[in-house]
Amino acid sequence: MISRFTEKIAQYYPQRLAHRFALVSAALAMLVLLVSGIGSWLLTYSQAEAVDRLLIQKEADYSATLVGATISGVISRMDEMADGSLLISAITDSAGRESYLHPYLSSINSVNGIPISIFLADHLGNEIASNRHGDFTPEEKKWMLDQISLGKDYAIVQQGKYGPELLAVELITPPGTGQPEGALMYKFSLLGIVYSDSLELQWHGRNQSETQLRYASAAIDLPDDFDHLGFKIIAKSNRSSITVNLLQLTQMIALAGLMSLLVLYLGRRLAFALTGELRRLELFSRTVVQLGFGDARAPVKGNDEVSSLAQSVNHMLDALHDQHQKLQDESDRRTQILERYRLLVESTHAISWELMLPEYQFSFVSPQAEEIFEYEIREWKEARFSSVHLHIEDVDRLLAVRSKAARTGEQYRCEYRFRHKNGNYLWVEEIGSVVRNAQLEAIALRGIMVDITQRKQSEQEIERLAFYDALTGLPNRRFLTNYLQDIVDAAEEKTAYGVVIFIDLDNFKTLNDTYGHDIGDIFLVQAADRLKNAIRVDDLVARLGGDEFIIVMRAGNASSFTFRETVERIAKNIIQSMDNPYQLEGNEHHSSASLGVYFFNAFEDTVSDMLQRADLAMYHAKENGRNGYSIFDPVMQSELTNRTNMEIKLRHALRNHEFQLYYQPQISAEGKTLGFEALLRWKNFELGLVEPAQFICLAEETGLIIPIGEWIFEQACRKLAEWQKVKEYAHLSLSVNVSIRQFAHKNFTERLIATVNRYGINPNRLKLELTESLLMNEIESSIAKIKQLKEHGFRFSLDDFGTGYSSLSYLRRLPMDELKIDRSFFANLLVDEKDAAVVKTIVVLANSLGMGLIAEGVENEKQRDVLASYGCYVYQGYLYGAPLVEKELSSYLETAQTI
Amino acid sequence: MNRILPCPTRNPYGVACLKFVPLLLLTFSLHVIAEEKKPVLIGIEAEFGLLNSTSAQAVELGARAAAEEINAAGGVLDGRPLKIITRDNRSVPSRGVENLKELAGMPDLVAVLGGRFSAVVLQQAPYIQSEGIPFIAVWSSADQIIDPSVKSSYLFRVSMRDTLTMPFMLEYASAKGYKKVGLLILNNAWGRSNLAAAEKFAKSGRSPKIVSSSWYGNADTSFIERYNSLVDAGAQAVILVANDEAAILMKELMAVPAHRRKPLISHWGVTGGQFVEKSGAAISEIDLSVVQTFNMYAADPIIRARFSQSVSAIAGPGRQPENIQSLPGVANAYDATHMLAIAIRQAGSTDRAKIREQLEKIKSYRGIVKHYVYPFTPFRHEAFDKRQLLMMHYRPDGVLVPR
Repeated sequence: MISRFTEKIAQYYPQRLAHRFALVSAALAMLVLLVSGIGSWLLTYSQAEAVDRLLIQKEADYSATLVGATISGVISRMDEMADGSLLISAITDSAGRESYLHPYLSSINSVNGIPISIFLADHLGNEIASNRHGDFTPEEKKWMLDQISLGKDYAIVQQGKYGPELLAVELITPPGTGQPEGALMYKFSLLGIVYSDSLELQWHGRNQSETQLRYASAAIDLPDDFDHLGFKIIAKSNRSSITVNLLQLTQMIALAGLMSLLVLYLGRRLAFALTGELRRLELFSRTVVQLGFGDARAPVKGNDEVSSLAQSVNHMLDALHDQHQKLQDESDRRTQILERYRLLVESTHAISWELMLPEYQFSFVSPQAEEIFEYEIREWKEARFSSVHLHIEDVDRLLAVRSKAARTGEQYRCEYRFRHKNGNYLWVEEIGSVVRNAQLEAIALRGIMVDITQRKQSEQEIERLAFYDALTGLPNRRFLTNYLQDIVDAAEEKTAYGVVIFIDLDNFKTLNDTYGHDIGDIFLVQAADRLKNAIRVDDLVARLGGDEFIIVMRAGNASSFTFRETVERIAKNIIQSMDNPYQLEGNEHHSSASLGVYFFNAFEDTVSDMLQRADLAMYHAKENGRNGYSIFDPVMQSELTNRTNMEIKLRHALRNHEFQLYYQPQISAEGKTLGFEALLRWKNFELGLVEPAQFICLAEETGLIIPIGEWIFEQACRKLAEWQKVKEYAHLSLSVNVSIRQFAHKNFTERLIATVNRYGINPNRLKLELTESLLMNEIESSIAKIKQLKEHGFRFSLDDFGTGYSSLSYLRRLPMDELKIDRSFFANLLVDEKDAAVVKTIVVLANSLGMGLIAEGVENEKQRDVLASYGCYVYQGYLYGAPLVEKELSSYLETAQTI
Repeated sequence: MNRILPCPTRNPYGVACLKFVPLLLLTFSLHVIAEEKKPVLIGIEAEFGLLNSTSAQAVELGARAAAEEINAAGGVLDGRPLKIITRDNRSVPSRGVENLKELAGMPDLVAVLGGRFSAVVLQQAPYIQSEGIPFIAVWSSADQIIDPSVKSSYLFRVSMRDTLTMPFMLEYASAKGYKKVGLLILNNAWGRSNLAAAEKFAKSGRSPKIVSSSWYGNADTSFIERYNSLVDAGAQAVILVANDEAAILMKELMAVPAHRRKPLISHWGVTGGQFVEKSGAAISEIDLSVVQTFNMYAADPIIRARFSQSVSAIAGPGRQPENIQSLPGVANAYDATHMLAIAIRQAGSTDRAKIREQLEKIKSYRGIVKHYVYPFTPFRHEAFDKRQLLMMHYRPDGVLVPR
């Protein structure tokens, strides 16, 4: 049988030597090609597949354990926190808890390296504190509130801004109440945990959208409460070992191809002379080499060795073509993936970038950079672009964060300002991580940059609203008290000095009532601007509310003398600048301010001391005629106390019969006693004899003037009634001072008439003394009342005439019977010609208006004589003796000339 | 046929109307009576539901005792009775604010008395001012509750404040010869108020040296480590700013060797709950002084008799004031309610702003804690001063008696 086979071969075996060489060469080449090609293909394919499967399953298992442990770690840390004493304390705490909560929460930026957002809420879901402000959406807060009302801890997975997040709520139950009183909500991105491209996290309810070439999955073990989330991890094959092997295979085949070509070429050289067929084949081979192995195939003619060689070449070309096609497909697939990533990168609002180290030059930025900042991509890539456009204040901080990240390899986050083409700075948040080369040197940073300008603005707006006054933009009371409290807290003996200036705008209420609140607001804004301009750079001006402002200045290193000078200069400046006219919607308005200045020592004073004392000083400034400043003096404090004491004593004075009337005679030029002025004195067991100037004002403020006034009338009428019974005294008049508040009282007329009627006296004998300056406040109603009382026969005297600012036209309309010349006009009568002129004028005035005249405070005969020479003939004063007590009155009248 | 009475067949509604007439008259007259006697409400917003706490119940007892007396004497505003209503915050500030909003919505409510926890009152304060509800703190002592920089404030206090209490405790320690003390303080607004007062007083030179301060949280289950740290720092006595949870420390001290058992000087927070019951035998073993503001033994005998009678009438037979827990809360609330009644009468209406104003105008009131003369003025909303402070200790039967 063998011999028959060899015979058959021998039948075809070329007879020619050239043919034999070619046949042997071609057969060898084909053999090498076939064996190496097929063998390696099968072997590597099966091995690579097995290894790949094993690897991804291991990766899945390992990652599941790692991710499970990481998430569990975070959860248990949060669980501990919610049950911890500190948060339970915070839930039952209020003002001031920020002092420990804020540092505590701020310190927990991440747990086990996982960045986490934490939100502590009361039972109504209101924020108590959070570690990253504004990280939770209203929907998340509402979800939390639902969990609080359901009364159970719960967690969900949601799609966050950067991928899936775990959102959980832990209720806080203080042991004392046994019920949930608040909650701890937290969330963290799962993207950061599943860090690799080849891993994907899946949980209940999420569809697997992509079919992977190869993947393995493993369930993640979580604490019982979180079982419902049903996490599993999917590991994907991305470093296709098949592709690697195919590439090797192709290389091998190419090598084999080259070898066979070489063999063919050599065969051709050997066989060239021997055969023309072989030459054609050679020509074809050359074409293939030149044009690539497309669809062209070597022509096969006959059945000889050349044609079998051509067939072999053709087979080889087919195999090569197939491999080439596979490689082309793989390349297309890769391009598609790249395109998908490009779309992903370009469709977010974040700018993706890569910065080369150490010069921080951009090597890549995504197109959003052009859109957001309006620089062209080529500009971004210029040297030093990144550092030149940073805000100067942020440079150090950002570089520190970046270089720390380059050192430690941790992901970093930093918020900073970056200049827009239009020159404005935008706030951005940069999240980046470091790229290392094979030697583990940091060569670049890569990450994203998000425009957070709007978020920053709203944060600033929130701060502004809480600590600043909406109308004037000045710091508000809260800011001020914090600021002062900080001064008090940080006070050391040497640096504790400063000043608080309390500013109150005079007559602001009148402006508001007259022109309305809108104009009042415009006025306040202008006043606030003036205050801002009046102070030094480091000083603080705040609006306490209404028309009240506070300025705080620190003495710093200035000596107390120079500091005091500075403060007084600034106080004067303020008063001057507030005094300038204001333009309010076209109307010119004049105003002024009263300032209370308190030099504090923060080492000893409390915040309320400072404000109260400055306030007290301000009231003094107001009392001293406004438009001025007053410096706090310990006396003021004691005055306040005295005043309160005096008020209590004054209330008891009437009941304890501590008031007494004194009578000062009024004498004619002939020396005849015409009547008396009743003068009120208050004799208190502790205070001694108190002058009216000291207590009348207080009595007016407290309303005690009404009963006191009635008591005086009672006494006066009783006295007049006594005199009426004696013929010689019946003409005597009695002047009684009436305070304006008493006069303005609605029952004044009725009660006075009732008292007079009760004693049955002639009202003509009762002279009511009114003070000019006080009358001017309510001139019209006063005139009406005076007229009404005059109809009943009462007489009126205008006290302190000349000291007020009344115009003559008012004086003409006041139906007075008598003018009383104040002593201040004739005290210097003998030496001052101007005073003489005034007295003369008053006399002429009184005569022409048909009023009587009396001079009070006449002290010597010279004064009386001069007054007489000008035409004033009735006097009252020490020349005729001191005021008399009631007991002395009868003996005086017995000796005095009365008729 | 009488035409005046409608025929039932013609007008079935007429019959119905007639039937309703007497009923209508009756409801109308009842309505008039109810209108005349409509109660005036005083709220108590306090920690009723807090475990082991007795302070809120004490405040309620005092307020109701006073209200009974006032009602027996004819009530207020032409015979309207005073009625006490309560709301529970379980010591949680956010619940306190929520409750206060509910109380503020009741038209006849004129004022609210607050509970033991300063932190709650501080959270309520802005709302109290903006809503304008007269509010009297009858237990809580944090200084910031009464802010003198607020004009026309609605917050008043018939209780002691920390700026006076803390120096008193420190001076007491000093008088006892302790040169070094440690502070054990609850970490909340009340604790911070006390620390501030202590630090301020420490600069005066009259205070013993404060060797160390230690904060604890109100969910802590042991105090002994903190206590030891104070003793190790050299404290000869420990000042406690704590509530009834300090009973844990009392028990823990029983296991401490005698030379390390230092005297305790405590704020009155401990009296707000079942401190005596929880301390057990430690109450007679440990040297504990408690600062108090109410000394029943020194009270005016006539008023004391009336107070005892009114309180026992509500608390139940046999419950004399001295066996009642958190007695100062009873006394303060009793006085506060009486003063509120005076202010209501002076105001002549249930208008809250007027009542606020009239609280500042009360001239004098003889109370169980003291004889108040001008208890409040526009410059001062604190009815107590340091003369009310005294040191007491627990008798073995758990009754507080003066030192």
